[in-house]
Amino acid sequence: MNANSKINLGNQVSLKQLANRNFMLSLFLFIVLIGIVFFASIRDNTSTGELLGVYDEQFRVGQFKGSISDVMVPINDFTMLPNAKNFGKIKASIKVFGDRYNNIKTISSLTDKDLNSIEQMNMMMAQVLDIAKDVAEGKIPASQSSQVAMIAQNLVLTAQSKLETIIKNMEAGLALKTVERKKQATLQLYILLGFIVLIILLLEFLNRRLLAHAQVVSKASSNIAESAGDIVEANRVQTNITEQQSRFMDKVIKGLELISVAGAKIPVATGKLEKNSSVISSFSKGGVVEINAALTVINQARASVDSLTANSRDISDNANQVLQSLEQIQDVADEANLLALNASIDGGSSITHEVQRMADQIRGYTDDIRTSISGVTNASGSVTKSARESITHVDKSVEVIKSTTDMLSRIETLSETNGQSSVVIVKAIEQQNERNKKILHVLKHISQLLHSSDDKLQAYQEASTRLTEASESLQNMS
Amino acid sequence: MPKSKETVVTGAEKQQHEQIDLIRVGIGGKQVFIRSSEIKEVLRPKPLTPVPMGPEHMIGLANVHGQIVCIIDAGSVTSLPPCHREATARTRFLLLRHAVMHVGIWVDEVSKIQQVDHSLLANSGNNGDSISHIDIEGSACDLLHCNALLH
Repeated sequence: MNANSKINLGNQVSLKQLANRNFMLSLFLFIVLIGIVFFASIRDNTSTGELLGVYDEQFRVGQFKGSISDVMVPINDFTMLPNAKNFGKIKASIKVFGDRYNNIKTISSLTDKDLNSIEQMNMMMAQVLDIAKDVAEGKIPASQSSQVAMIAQNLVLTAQSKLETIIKNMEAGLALKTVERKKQATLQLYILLGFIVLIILLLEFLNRRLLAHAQVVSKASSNIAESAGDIVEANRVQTNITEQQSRFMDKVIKGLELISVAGAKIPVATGKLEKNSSVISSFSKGGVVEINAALTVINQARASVDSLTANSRDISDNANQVLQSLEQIQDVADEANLLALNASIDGGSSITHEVQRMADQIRGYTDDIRTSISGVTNASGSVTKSARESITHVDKSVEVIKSTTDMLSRIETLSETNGQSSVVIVKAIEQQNERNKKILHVLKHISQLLHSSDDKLQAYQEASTRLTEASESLQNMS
Repeated sequence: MPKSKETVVTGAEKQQHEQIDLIRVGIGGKQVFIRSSEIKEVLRPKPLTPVPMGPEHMIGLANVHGQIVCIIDAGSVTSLPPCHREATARTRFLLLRHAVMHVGIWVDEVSKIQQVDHSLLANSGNNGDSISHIDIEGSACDLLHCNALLH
């Protein structure tokens, strides 16, 4: 079986559920992304509108600044010709100035300081108008109209200067807002990019989880396929074993049937065995009597051999005594020879050679006698040795005969015991036959069960094969 | 007739036809002849007393009739093979005839006494050596001169 078949079963989520969850989460993040983009677009439009408003106000202030110089034309005309007609032109221009002043005053972006400056400029313009009115009405002499016009021009220039200051302030505020707007736009861009990256990472994470889950499913499918293969193989082996068991069981049944048939024959054979045992017992008794008679004869033969050995020993002893006597004779002959030799040396005796010849003859005779006695001694030794070997053989034969006698006695006893046991065996075999029949019946039932098991195993094998195919399909799908 | 013949035989001729007894002995497995006139007595082996630091040819000292006799090995002082220095039933001591010294030689056996003509000894050509060669019954034999050993 595959060792990798253990899979963590905790927190199991189906692949479909995981895919649906990832889809829902991706859709939510996409909607959030669209919302953020929409919100950023609105904020951008708002900021652009604000900037356009400020720019429009700045334009209006500049236009107001340019319109101030329009007041100077009627004043110059009035300076050169101070009459009511030119005064009316001044009045009309002052009126236009007042209208524009009222329009400018509504600008929301103006600060209090700017408003004060505009108010002061308006008051100066009102003074110019009063001065022009006084000149027109003759309250101020016409000769002084040029100074009055100079004063008015100075007032107008002062008003332009103030407006210029206001415009610069407004330009500075516009530039500041533009910078702030750029900062906000950049920040929004970073936030948007960060969120997009976050969404991408989250989607990648979800995809990885989905992929890991798919890999786990693939691995599990592979393990299932391998396990199914193992099961199929084990099934095949088990099927073979079951078939072999069935065949063996059939053979065992046949063997038991033969045993049962043979068991029926055993009592007859046992009866014959009982008779044979009684015959063997009687033969054993007769054998013991015969062997005891043979043992008596052998003991007599052994006594004869012992006597022969003793006689041979006596012969050997006598031969040794003769040899000793011969040695003495030899010594006497040698001594006589020596005496004759010395006599010859001393005086030159004529008998020396005769004595020496006699000594040589005696030596020759004694050597012959010694040789003969040695032959007798050797023959006696051989007889003694043969007698001892015969005694040894006789003793061994006696031992064998005694052992045979004991064995015959035991055979007799065993034969009697066999005769008694045969009766018991006959009864036991009859009981055994009955039990064999019961065992045979049980074994036949087991054989039927094995055949049934074989069929089921084949069905199981087919199911395992289908499981393997399904696992492979699942693995391919993963 | 024979009597007249005896009368004409000179002394030198008489000595030349004289029979001399030689004793045939065995020394170291070799048969050697010795003049019987140089031998005083033939004895059975007797107990020997070894002589420490003595010469190699001196086997030992023996008590012979109350007289101390020096027993030597003739093979050690001549060209003969050395004798077997283990006594057997055939071993004998030959006491040499000398006026002053009492010396005996060890022989492994004494075979017999044989008479030879004196002329054979004269032809042996002894020039003072202890061993000479003589021709006895057609075979060359060694003759040991015991007196030469005692010089």
